[in-house]
Amino acid sequence: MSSTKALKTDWTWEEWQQSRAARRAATLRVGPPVTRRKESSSDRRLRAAFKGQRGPNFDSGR
Amino acid sequence: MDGTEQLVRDIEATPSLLERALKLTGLVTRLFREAGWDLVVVGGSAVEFYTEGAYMSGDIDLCRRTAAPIPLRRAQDLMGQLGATGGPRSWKVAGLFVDVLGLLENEAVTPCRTITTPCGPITIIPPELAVVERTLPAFYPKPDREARNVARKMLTACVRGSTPVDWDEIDRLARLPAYNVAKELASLKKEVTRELNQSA
Repeated sequence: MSSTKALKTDWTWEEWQQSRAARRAATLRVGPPVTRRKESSSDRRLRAAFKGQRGPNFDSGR
Repeated sequence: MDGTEQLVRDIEATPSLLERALKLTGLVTRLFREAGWDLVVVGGSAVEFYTEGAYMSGDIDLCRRTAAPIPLRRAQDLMGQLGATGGPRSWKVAGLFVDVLGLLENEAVTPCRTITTPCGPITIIPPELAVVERTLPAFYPKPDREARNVARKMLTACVRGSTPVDWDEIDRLARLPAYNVAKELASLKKEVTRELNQSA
């Protein structure tokens, strides 16, 4: 391995929160805003629990 | 209301799905660690952590790093402390499902990543492994657009440096017979790099 020593591997909560927007902006450039799978083996319990969806809504600020 | 109950209520009231999931994972991780088992986040929550790609569903997948199995009764008692319902391997708590799957399979030599949540530190599978794992279903058994989108987002976060990774390790993992997706991954990486450069 060439770069493990330089890798950032630990985040504080604050560091992570500050990094979220940049990560989201980057990934939005290459694909749809939502990539949640349309189905999986857990569909029955998920849709029963989340009003027909496979999970709760994402951040309101997204 | 005791401290744990209050924490669960606070978690339930957290508006961001990913923040809610990470805080809940912090609480679950702490309980199991105190009982002798280390847990690691795998699956959609890990991908969400690395991409912010609106990928995760309403469940959190955890594997144990500790070799010793968790007796189901012990797991029930631990999750019961959080007011969880269901079990014995999947519970509902704080409005989300928590699945404790089994022993972690991790071929990566790079470290798991950690984040210290307000409810305790959690461990997440290495992004190097997540990238390779997500590339596989994008191409096999047949090309899959949904899976490709997720793999592209993982690669983008890595290429942009918002999720720092060891590319040599990604290449090594992708070449393993278990995955055998080095060519496909390289092509996808080139594709997103080109798109990022064009839209810069």
